[in-house]
Amino acid sequence: MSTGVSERKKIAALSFGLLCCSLLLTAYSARHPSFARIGTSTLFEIVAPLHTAVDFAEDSTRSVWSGYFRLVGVASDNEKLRARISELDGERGLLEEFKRENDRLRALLDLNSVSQLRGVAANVIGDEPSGWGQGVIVNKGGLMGVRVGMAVVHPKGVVGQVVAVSPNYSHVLLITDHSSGVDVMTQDSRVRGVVEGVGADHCELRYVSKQTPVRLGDTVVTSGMDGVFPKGLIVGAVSKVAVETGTLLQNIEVKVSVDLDKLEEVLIVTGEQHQPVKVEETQSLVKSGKQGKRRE
Amino acid sequence: MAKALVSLLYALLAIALQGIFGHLGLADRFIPQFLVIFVVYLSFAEANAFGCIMSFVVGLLLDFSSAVLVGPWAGSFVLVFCILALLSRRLFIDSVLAAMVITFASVACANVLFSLFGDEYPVLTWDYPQKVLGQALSTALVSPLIFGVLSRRWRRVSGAYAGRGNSVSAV
Repeated sequence: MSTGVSERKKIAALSFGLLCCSLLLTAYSARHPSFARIGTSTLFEIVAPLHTAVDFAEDSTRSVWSGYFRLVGVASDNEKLRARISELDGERGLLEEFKRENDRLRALLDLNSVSQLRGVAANVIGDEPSGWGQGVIVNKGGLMGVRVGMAVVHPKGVVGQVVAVSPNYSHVLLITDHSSGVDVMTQDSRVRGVVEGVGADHCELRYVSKQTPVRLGDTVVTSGMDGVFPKGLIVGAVSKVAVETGTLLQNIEVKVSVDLDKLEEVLIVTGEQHQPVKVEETQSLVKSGKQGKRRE
Repeated sequence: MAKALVSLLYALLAIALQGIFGHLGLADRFIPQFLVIFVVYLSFAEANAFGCIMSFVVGLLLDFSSAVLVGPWAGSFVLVFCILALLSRRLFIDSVLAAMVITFASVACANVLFSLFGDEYPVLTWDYPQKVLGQALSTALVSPLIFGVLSRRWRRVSGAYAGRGNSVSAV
């Protein structure tokens, strides 16, 4: 009996010690985020290959499904696809024209540089394991030039930020995570604020005063002021605006533009590529514009 | 040493599985917490200093996997282990139902403790109880199966079963 009691006392004392240790670690890692990354890098190198294997198996199963079972009715599909290709060819030509027109207009507006995002494309291979944080694991790491703090984007908008990197994998904290924050502004009214995650599929736009007009459906874009996300990337749209009495700020909900649950490929922004437009090119564009006007 | 290695291997596999389930489209609130099952198992099979330290270590691994804060999961796992280990003479998980009920309570407890330990998850939302109870339920449903697997592996590593008598062997 005495052995049992002493064993229980030992467990209680040890648990208390480890609990204190946990609290100290939590406090320390909250102040020094780099501390949390010490073990993460090694952990990813061990765990992520399993994710890659499952991802590969999933892709293979899908390709077998589409390559074999869907062969039924392939002839009619083929015809439909041919028609679609010719339709898309027409659309592509039109889009090419729009792009050129856009480039010309940018030059005429005296933009002296054309910014393009330079980055590394990565596949999402796993989710944050505990289910309590909003994060994903991608299959590109330090060897591909990925560094902690880099922005992660998708054609539809902002995804998140790299918080830990191992040689071959990276951990991306999604913008919907409650510890995430992005400096943003509304596209039309240029109202600035900080988009913070709430752990669900939406975010909240914070620090916007009651006097500032924010409407439902306003597009929210990055302001570029946080030094992480390049300016002008779409974050989402305002889905709810509530003004409570007794507070100075508005409660604004932002629906994220990217479907983060169905994320497959992302672009890790390693830098911005600047391509200065030559002065002669701008002048010739201006000239051709004037000539066009005269003809009209 | 062998037990520590098996524990680490199980923890890594559990972390990978939890991440894979999420990636395959299973909602966060239904992803089983395999690591909590392991902590529950340890509290019955290894209600001693080793079990306590291993609970802390597997919690740390889960903390590292989130790359944000180190400590909240470790702390909550240690507390869950401590409570169960102290009660392990009165509690038995020798039936499937008992195993499920104890696991359900442990996961709910671990999740709430995790939120208290520094996670900023908004607890005053409808999403929070859904997540806590959803994870607890899904984990409870798979727990008898995992207990069975763990029990066999643990006995093999220990040479002969030297845990706490009949408490986990029947599951």
